[in-house]
Amino acid sequence: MPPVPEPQATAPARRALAPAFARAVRVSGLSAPITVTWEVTNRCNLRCAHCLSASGPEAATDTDLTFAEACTLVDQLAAARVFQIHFGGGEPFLYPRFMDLLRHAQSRGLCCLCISTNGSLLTPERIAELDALGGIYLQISLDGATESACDAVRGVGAWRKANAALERLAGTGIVRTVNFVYTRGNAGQLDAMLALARRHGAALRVTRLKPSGRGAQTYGELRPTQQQLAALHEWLAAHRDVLTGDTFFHLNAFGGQPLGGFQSCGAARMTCLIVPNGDVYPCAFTQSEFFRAGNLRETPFADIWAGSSVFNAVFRQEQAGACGTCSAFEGCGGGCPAVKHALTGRLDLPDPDCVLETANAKDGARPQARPLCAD
Amino acid sequence: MDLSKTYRRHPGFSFRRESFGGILYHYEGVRPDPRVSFVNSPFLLDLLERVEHAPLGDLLAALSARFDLDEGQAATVRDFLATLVERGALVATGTPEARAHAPRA
Repeated sequence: MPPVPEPQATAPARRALAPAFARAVRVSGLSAPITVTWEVTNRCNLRCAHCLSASGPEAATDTDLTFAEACTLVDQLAAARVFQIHFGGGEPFLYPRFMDLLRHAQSRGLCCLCISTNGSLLTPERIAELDALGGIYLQISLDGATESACDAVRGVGAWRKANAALERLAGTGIVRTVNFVYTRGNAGQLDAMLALARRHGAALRVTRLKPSGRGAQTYGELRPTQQQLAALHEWLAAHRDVLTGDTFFHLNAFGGQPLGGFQSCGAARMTCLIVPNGDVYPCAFTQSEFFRAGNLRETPFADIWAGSSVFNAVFRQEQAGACGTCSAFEGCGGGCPAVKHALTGRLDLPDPDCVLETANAKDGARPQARPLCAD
Repeated sequence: MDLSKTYRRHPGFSFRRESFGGILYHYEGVRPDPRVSFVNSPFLLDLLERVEHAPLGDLLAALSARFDLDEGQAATVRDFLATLVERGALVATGTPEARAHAPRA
């Protein structure tokens, strides 16, 4: 019998995985996702400038999966032994019978039901229902420690409503994070955001802005500068309890101790995205026809996961592309495919936010890790 | 860990087989990030499938014999199981649920 690996203290860093596991996941993916992200509706009572799915009050809902279809999908995910569903949107609490859907998912043995919400619809009654349900993990979006910084992106009133929701969650057993998208305008607020989250009994989760949905239009304006990315990398390295959703692995090219988490792209390997009409994509940031893997009204989930050509030919291959000769590749994995494709239309180029590419662009050199990496 | 007891899986703990072995997933309900472990032990996965049906010590003995484990390998598995018990992934049958994941009355 091969030796039993030690249990990992947290989600293991890629280099902490035995090479055979890491390669198996990278090349062939898993038999099913660990986590499925499911945007149940694009309807939202906010209209954030960087929304990855371009949600808003005007979003159509006529093609959203019905409650019966949604329950069937839950059954398929449970049968595939998916461990966690990450509900998002839009604002998921605007999906009709959302609480019933959560109850159905829990009855089918899903280990964790994560909900990304703007917090505005978390009434005391709904919070009590969630608390009674158990196994819930709430992510409350808040893009600034100050009202002005947050509402500049999320709209007037967003900061106040999210903070009020966090106050109402005090004293409950519901696990929660404050979700913070790092942008040019709020980059100086990391310490203040961490303090705010802790004050509310929440962990802080910082994620990368990506040019998806409405974020594609505002990316140039909100995109952090290279100096801000360097500051973020240093800050995350010093705050290991801050979660990142594994969205900043491209910053590992800076060198030093890798950031926490799996630290590689999990799209179509460990996770995937389901959108309101049942279309399936590799991840939340790849919502374009090029990446569409299938539709659940036509094909069962397990068949899409196993048989999608875009999953198998694009994501479950080791394609270093232009990064293949860079000594930082082992740490950064070449960056985010979604950002590459959105900004360049190609997947074989370095991440447009590659810290080395930009640093070396002045003299036209290709990415070379040595000048910046602490080997 | 009490080898004379039968254990059940915490509602936030599950596992499944993969080509390289299997994945263990544990959402404790007290922190946002789940514990995810990649394992390559068919012995461990067989044991977890049967954990609710017999005392842990009996399962360890029966499966150690079937898989022909030496003492060092059996000790590794026992240590791993002790960690799962310590973290609340495996709960002795009849033990009140103390974790936040459990539905509240």
